[in-house]
Parts: sequence; C-alpha cells; structure tokens
Amino acid sequence: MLEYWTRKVAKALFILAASTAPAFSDSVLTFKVGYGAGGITDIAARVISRHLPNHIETYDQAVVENVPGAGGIKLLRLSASPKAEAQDTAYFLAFQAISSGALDDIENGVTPARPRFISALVSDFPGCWVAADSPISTAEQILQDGVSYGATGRGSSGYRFPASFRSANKLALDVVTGYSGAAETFAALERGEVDVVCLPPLDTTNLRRIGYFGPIGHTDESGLPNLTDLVADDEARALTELFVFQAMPVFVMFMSEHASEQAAEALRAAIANMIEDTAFISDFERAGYVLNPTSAQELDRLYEKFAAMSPETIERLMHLIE
Amino acid sequence: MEAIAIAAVEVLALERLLYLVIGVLSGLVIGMIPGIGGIFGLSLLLPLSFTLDPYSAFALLMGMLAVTTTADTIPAVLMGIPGTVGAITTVVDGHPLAKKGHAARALGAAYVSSLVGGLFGAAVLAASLPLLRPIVLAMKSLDYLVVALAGFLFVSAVSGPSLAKGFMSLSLGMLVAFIGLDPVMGEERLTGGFLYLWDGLPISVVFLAVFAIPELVSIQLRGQIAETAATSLGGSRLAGARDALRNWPVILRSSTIGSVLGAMPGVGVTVIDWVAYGVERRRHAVEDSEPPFGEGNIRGIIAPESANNAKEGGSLIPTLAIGLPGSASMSLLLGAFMIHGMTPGPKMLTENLPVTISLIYFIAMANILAAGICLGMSRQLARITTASHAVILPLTLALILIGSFQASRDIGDHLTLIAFALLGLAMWHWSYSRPAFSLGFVLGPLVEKYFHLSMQTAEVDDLARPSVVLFFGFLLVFVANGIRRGRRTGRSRQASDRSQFIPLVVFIAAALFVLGSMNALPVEARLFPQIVALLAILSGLVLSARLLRSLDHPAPERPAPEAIRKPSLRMFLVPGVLTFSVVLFHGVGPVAGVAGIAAIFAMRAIRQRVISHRER
Repeated sequence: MLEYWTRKVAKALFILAASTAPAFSDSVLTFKVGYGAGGITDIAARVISRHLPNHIETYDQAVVENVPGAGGIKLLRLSASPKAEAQDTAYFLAFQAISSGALDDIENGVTPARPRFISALVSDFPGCWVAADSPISTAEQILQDGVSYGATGRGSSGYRFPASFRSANKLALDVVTGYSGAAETFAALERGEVDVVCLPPLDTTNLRRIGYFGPIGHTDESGLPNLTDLVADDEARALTELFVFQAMPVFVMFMSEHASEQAAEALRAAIANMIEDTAFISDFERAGYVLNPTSAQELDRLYEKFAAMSPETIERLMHLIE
Repeated sequence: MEAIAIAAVEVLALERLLYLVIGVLSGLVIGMIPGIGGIFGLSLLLPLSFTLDPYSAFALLMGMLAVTTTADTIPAVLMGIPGTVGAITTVVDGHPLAKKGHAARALGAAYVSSLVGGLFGAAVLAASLPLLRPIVLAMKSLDYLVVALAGFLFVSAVSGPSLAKGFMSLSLGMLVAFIGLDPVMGEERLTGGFLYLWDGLPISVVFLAVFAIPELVSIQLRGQIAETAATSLGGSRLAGARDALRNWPVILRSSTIGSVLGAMPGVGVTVIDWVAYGVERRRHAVEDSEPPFGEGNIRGIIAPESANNAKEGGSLIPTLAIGLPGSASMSLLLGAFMIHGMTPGPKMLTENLPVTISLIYFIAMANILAAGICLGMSRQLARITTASHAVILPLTLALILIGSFQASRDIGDHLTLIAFALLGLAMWHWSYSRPAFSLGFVLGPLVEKYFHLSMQTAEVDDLARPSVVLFFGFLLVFVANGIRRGRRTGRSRQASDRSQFIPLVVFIAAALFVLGSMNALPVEARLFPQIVALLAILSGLVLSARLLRSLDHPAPERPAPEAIRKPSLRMFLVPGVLTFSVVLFHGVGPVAGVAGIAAIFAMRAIRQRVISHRER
C-alpha cells in the first residue's frame, strides 16, 4: 500500500518539477512586477497577462512574478543586468521608479540603462488626499507648519512631494515614513495618524482629493488646485515639475535593453491589438482602471529628459527632496 | 437578514459547492507540500477565477486559503517539517508525539482544533461585521508596537532548557531578519551588494531550511520517523479528537488569540501561533497527565492549530474593512476583489454585503470539509511514520527543492536554503532553540517598523492607551512569575563540552561584525541592528562565562536530548544531496534536480542491499 502511494507521489513530484519549468520555457511570457502581490500594478499585470497571449503568436501563456524591493528599483536593476532574462520577460514598474533609477545612475557617474519601452496603459496626475472628515479644506492648508504627511520610504513619491514643498517653501512639514505600502499609509490617514497622503488610493470613498501635481500653469477641469504652482521658488518649481512628468504614466511595461528590438516590437503590436479588444477593456475597467495609454515613443521622450540631465541639476534636485 | 438569505442561496448553488470542493482539495495538497502555501495557491487559482462569477471565484479562493493551515499539519506532525510557516509551532509537540507512535492521535487533535478554530474565526468575522471599520481604525502604530513587544514575552516558552541560548537564538533570528533595505531610510543593510537580498530573506525558505533539514538528518540517522516499533502506530484519531474536545478552554483561548491578532495587519501567523502556544505553556507549566511541552504535549498542538485557522477569519477584517491586507495572501485576495469589480472598504458592507457574508459561509464550509477529509485520512497518513528513511528522504527533499524555489524563483532561494540548512543543523546539534530563532526573525522587523512609526506619530498621552497599560501589566506579571519560578526551581545546568564554544565564538564574531559594519549608516537604519547585536554579544558572554564555570565544576551527566545527536559525517549527507540537486536544478533543469536526489538515494539503497547480501 505504502509502496503504491510512494510511486504515485514520486510521479507527482516529477510532474511538479516539470511545472516549475515554465520559468525556463520559451512559449511562456513572464511579467515581472516590481511591487508586492495584490497592489495596483500587480493587479493590472494579472489582467494583462490573461489577455495578451490572445494577441501574440509567440506565447501560449503569460505568468506574473513579483520582485518587490526599494520601490521598484530592485527590479529595475535586475532588468538592466547582463544576466537579465531578456527575450521572454516583460517588466512592470511605475515611471517614477524607472526615472529615479536613471537619476541615481547619473549621480553615480554611470550611464543609465535604456529600457525598451512597450507601453503604459494608465496615466494620471498624482495628487494629495485628506480624510473626508478632515478639517483641512484647501490646498494652502496642507502647506502649513506642523501638517503631517504619510509615506512609505524616502525614495517614494509619497515622500518626495512633501519633501520638495518642505525645502522649497521652507516649511516645518512632518513627513512620517516607514509604512509598508499605499494601503497602510491610507489606513494611517483614516485613523488620524497623519493629515495628508500623496499617493494613489485604492478606494476614494472616505477620502477627499485636495490638489494635484500638474505641469506649471496647468489647470484641471475638476477645478482642483495645481500643487506644483504652489512651490515657492522658480527653480524649485521647475525641478518639482520634473517629478510630475515622471509620475504621470503608471504601470509602465518594458523589456530589458538586452532584448531584441523585434521582440519588443512584437509586444508593442500585441498591446496595440489588446487595447482594442472589448473583453480586455471590460476586465480592465471592472478592476477599477481607466484605460489611458502612453505610447513607447512618448515614454522614450519622457525618459530622455532624465537621461539627458546634468549631474549638477540632479544634485540640486536631490538636495530639494532630501 | 436579506443579505444573509441571498448569500445562503448563492453559496448553496451546486456550481459554487463544486468550486469550493476544488478549492479545498487544492488547499489540502498545497498545505502538505513544504515551502509553498496560500500565496502560491492563490497565484495559481487567481487566473482561473477571472472567468467565474464573484461567488464561484471566492468559493474557489476561500476554499483553498482557509484550509492550507489544516493540511500543513500533516508534514509537521509526521516528519517534523512545517508544510507552511503556520505549522512551525505544531512541529514542537506534534512531531515528538508521532515519534512516540501517537501520530494518528496528534492528527486527530489537530484537525478537530483546526475545525473549531476555523469556525470560531468565521463567527468572529460575522459578529464584527458592523464594527469592522471602527475596530481597525482604532488601532494605532503604538498598539501594533505593543503587540509585537508582547511577542517577546513568550521567548522563555520557546527557549528550551537554557534561557541564555534562547536569547541568543532570538537575537540571531532578529539579526538575520534585518538583512535587506531598512524600512525608514531605504539603506542597504548586510546585503553584500546582492540584489536578491534587498527585500530581505524569504521567510518560507528560511523556516523550511532551519526546521526541515535537521529533522531529515534526524530521520536519516534513526532509520524511520517513529522511535517506537511499527505496531504502536495506533493512538487513535478519535482519541485525538476527544483530547481536543476535552481541552475546549484551550481551543477557545487560542481561537480568540488567533482571530484578534489575525485582525491586526502584519502580525503574521508565526507570532499568533507562538503567542497561543506560549499562553498554554505558561498555564500548564506543571502537569502530571501529559508530557512536558516540547516533548509531545497534546495542548501544544491544539493551541496553534486552533489559533492559525481562526486567524483566517480575523485577517479578513482589515482586508474587507479598509482594504488593508494583513498578509501577502490577503493582498492577493484583495486583488481578486478588484478584478471582480469590488473595492474593499465601506461598500463591502453595503452594496457588496451578500458577497462579504458568502465569505463567512465559505470559510466555515471549507473548514468542515477539510477536517472531515483529513480525519478520514489520518490513520493512513500515520503509516508514513513507519516508512523507511530510504523512501521519506528523497521524496521530502524533492518537495523542499521545488517548494523553496517558489519563494521568488531565483537561485538565491536555493542558496538561502543551503545556507540556512547548515545553520539549522548547527543549532540542532548544539541545542539552540530554533523556535526562538523563528520568533526573532518575525518579531525583529515588526518591532523596528512600529517603533519608528510610533516615534514619529505618538504623543505622550498615548502612553495611557489601554494596549500600553495592558502590556506593562503583563510584563510585571511575567517578570514576577519568572523570579518566583527561578527561586523555586533553581538554575538548571546542562551537561556541556568544549565544542559548545564553537557556536559561541562564531555567533559573537558575527554580532561584532554587524555592530561594526553598520556604523556608516544613518542612525534610523542602524539603531535596531546595533542594539540587537549588543544584546547578542552580552548574552554570548554570559553563556561563555557559564560554560567555563560548568567545565570547571561539571554538573551530573544528563542524557543528551537525542542520543543520535553526535557529530558525524553522516549528518552532512542530506545537505550534501541538497547542494548537488541545486547544482543540477540550475545547471540542467528542475527535473534533473529531482532526478539527482532520486538517483543518489537509489544508489545508496542498492549499495546497502549489496552490503547486507554479502553479510548474509
């Protein structure tokens, strides 16, 4: 009896081992997401992974793997390494992480990697939020001494926006860091531990948007104030605007610079087909996203702005946010 | 009431029941395979659930998630290998029971405890529905800090015979957990420049290595799992079930701990299990009818098993209430809600209320189904304890090899497995508490994170919060009890030998390295690692002094905990095979890795047959 089951289990083990093999297989496209499972980027990648194989002949299946760490910088570094899984792997990161990595490289005298951009399916101006019952009602009120902001780490956009306000406007803003993610930061906002959070929320039911970060002089049809315009100093405002543009496209999909251009082109074509597919649009919108794609060319143009920055400008930028 | 009725009708549809059964069966299989747990299962099932309606999707997902902590008991009890991180505590008393020939009894007690705990968790979730948001939002960072600190109070319960060694193991676990980027400044700590280490070491791989490999070595040296003859396998599962029901206050207390702490995001199943275990161990410190805790006390199984199943209901509370997932598996479940067009938060209690209630039904039904299946199988499963190591070792090693690679699918997972297998073996050999190590590994980062957050957000008035007052009350009771017991029992002395200095020297050197290498970091990043390193050095010095004293004045010789724990080259067979299979796994492919293990053990079996044939 025991021998019978032993043989059965041994057989199952070989099948299980073979099931690990998709990571090594050519007909499977791997989506590596730079954040934890269940986050907004992860969910978007999972919805895309379900539909993309229907629009590309090369792959039968797409699987999602999470590689969190340092707000996405870990995955960015992995994607740029010569050992990166180039041909059958696409990476998902917020543009903010990609450009921050480029800035770090330039600051350290290293030529930044050139990701092969595929597309970004969602774009939005980042904003700041307060709890629905908060006494704060205007954008000016979040720029007063003693107001506390919640953020994850010091490399996150949630930290950098208030930090740039603090330096440029010479304010005593209190930025609380160390929360594990957007959900935990918004929970701290709701329970009154912090006053403001500048991150994208999952659910806006008990929140109020107090302003957004747009290009200098930009006005929004919602009537909300453009927070960039409230940065006091001209140079600081210009530098803050850079963050605005880097944060606009979210869920950026790219391949390693070691991947072939043909492979990247095939994925771009597949994405272009997929975003016309009503089944995909329905699933994507059901998950709470608004489809608003940014093309690979546009992403290249945005990235170029960072890759072309001088070390002196970057130093001023870093000084502003640190 | 209308929502309750709607949910009941939806849940009882044949299609949903079928998906629930599929989910439960998947959860049972996943829980039994060491190294993979609910996260792996959810990742597999999530794409399948896309095409289903929300009720069917959650029948599948909750069915799987609710029962992995039921099935993980099987390898924990039978082989001493935690199926998931939630079964580490069960190993401590469950495996000794299996070795004594009471595997079926241990499994019976575990399943009934899991069942009642799971139902309790579902009931707590149901009862707290109207209060979900206020409860979760009432908790501040300082409260989470206090809960994490309270976890340290149980270190004496998991230290084994030497508290000093327990402290050393605890601090070693904390130091290892500090590897990675610090939570406040994002500075690299002890990563050696390896990207793999930026996000810290994967908990599932570390625990699998530290707990499973020494057990496999022990099985190899003994020849089979059970220490007693095959005929004493009995210890009926019904006797175990009766044990569980007789200890209903233990189940009630542990389930309450499981569901309450489960509702606190980030606290994690390991802490919950140790707290439940520690509470019972302190309550039943002197007991005539049962063996001591750690040597096969049935309450040592009942407490963690009821707590970790009750946790599932509790951990849904913050996920549903404010979309704050308490664990990685809850994060994926949160993703499932969004994919099905539901955003966790207030709407889960209004327009999506029937779906929320259906989750409670699914948890309850999944627990009943899983307990029934497992109870039915427990007598057959118990036979594994009498199987030869020639069968057990290759199968388990292959499962560990595959399971550990699921953590991040990086060769780093396997290197971590090998490194911590050696550490686990050293701890086992020199009798350092591995449970205390696991407690430190989980609590260290929690305390650090909430300490920094509390320092930034708490005010002086917060020191009067009920959680803080309760904590200091408990602390006083613990210290008073500790002093009283210390006076009553005197200081226990263990037999010692000069080889005990080897781990001490290595450990103190490692702590000194941590202390020195952190100096260049900002104070926020180095504060905790340096404090822990200092405490580690101090406890190492205390232990060294005691060791020197005991060498000068040897205590009466006491039998070693396991006579087989003598240094021998045979101890390195299992880690050696593991290393070889890792090389094959990454050099040739996953199937070759598994085949390598099978080939080595097949050759070994043939060699032994040839030798015994010649002897005859």
